Amino acid sequence: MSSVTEAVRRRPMLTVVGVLIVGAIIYFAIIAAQTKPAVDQVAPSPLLYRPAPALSGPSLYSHSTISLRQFRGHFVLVNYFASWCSSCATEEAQIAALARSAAVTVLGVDYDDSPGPARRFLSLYHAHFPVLQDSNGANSLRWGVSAPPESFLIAPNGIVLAKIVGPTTVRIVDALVTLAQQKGY
Amino acid sequence: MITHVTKPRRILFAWLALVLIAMASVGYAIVNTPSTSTAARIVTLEKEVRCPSCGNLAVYNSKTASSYSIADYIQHQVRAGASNQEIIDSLVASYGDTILMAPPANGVGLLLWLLPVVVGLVLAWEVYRSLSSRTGSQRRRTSALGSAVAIPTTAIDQPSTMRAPRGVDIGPAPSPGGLATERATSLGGVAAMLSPSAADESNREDDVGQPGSDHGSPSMGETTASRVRRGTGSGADGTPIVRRGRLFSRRLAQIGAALILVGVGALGTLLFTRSNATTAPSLAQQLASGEALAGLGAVKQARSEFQHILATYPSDPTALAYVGWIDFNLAKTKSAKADSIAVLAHAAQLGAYDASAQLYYGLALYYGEDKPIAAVEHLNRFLATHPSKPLVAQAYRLAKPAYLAAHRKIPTTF
Repeated sequence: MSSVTEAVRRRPMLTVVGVLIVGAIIYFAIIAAQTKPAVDQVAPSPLLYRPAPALSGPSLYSHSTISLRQFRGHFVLVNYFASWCSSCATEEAQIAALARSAAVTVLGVDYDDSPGPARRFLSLYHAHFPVLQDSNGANSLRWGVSAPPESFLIAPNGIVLAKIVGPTTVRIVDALVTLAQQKGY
Repeated sequence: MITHVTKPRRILFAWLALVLIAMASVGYAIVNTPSTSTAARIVTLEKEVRCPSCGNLAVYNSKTASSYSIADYIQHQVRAGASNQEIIDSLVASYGDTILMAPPANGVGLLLWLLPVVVGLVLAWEVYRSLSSRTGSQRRRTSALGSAVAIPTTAIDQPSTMRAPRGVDIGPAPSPGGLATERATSLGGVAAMLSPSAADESNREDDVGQPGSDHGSPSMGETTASRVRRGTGSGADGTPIVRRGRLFSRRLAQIGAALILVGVGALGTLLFTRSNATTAPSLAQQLASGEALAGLGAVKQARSEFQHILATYPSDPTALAYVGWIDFNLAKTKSAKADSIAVLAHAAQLGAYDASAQLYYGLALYYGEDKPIAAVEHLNRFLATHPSKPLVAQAYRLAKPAYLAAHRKIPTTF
């Protein structure tokens, strides 16, 4: 013990630096421990577990306006896609299958695209679900979309439950919906 | 060379270095203070925000769809009167902290901000210690000339079993590693720990100097034991181990100080050379604003905008074409018209693949010089540049008579 006090007396600055470093390590360890595990989130997003941002725009098929609010009371999969995006083509058959199932309502958002190619792209996969256009990118910006395909699972009460980056499948979405139902959403 | 410099002088240098660093920080803060003008604010924000779909590029430097959306959003918000912080906060709310080019000064991001400060403090401490320890060792060397001679004799007089515990405050049978570590820390902190050769040497000495060591002949044991004692700071100075340890830490400190100064210098140079680029909007932005003004019918303002571009880029074909076309339309005399056509010809020559240059020269050839065949040739070149749809739609009305006069089929792209 006396050798420790001796060492402290001889090198006060080094001791202070040492104490600071140890303190910083403890501080960052606490922060790291408090961060939610990634498996809980599918992909990290500041939108998770908060009310979904506004989402509305002109329909791809008619002159009406589609809004996410119309789908309250259902699990909604908001799917950002584009006809020019090759990864969207790999998932589109799965999205079309999801739209036919009863588990979830699919709402497509056409990201940085033209209506003609988007309609052709969807008909290729026999996809029949409401699609809104986001020609100026305002909706994507509010939802923090970087590049399509990106999907968000919305609870019946309008809370964002999951963000899926990249192509998704029926199985993933079904699992997420089941999990959410078990948790009482 | 360095030993001739006296202590006050060295302290003066140290202070000078500190003042320089402080001034550089203040300068950096002043230069980086965001300008209040709208264009400069937009540029500043676009540089602070990361393009979400392209790795480590700022929105300002990238051309992806998401970057255009963010740039458009920033412009819209700035014009609507939102503050920089409000815009940044709204983007962070949807994309998270990763949307910022610089990490936030909270959470784990704080670690990144603190790291350079800690490194700077450690380096500053090393500089201070090297300055003070050197003058101290010089003083000790002159005062301990007598004792340096006296100590080896006392070391030889004592039995080796007594000497080892006196050298370092450890147990009766010290392990080699323990003694080496203890001594290494007392030699010169981080520097001595980093020097493997010094540690190895001390290890070897411990083996030899230990009581009951097999391979320690009496004469060898005596000399190493005396070295061990001096190395642990028993009062003597000038032993090779101590000097090497101190020298190493001193060199490290000097390299650190030099790196700091080079860093400050480089930062200053970078800021000095980039200060113009950060405040002035890019050529593309200037051209776009000029074209927007022309599109709105503000011909005079558009012309002055393009003249402004030409002052910096005198051979930009788009700016030349617009100035020429505006002059052509405003010209009242024949000579003024001929001048404007000459400007357009120059623009078309400079920009063989520039849509505006080819279009306006083609139109001027038809409407000004009544040369429909030459005009059609330039109009076809205009179409070959894949111009934007609105521009083609606007051009069609004016280009149609030229094609008819030249008895040429109007291309389907029109």
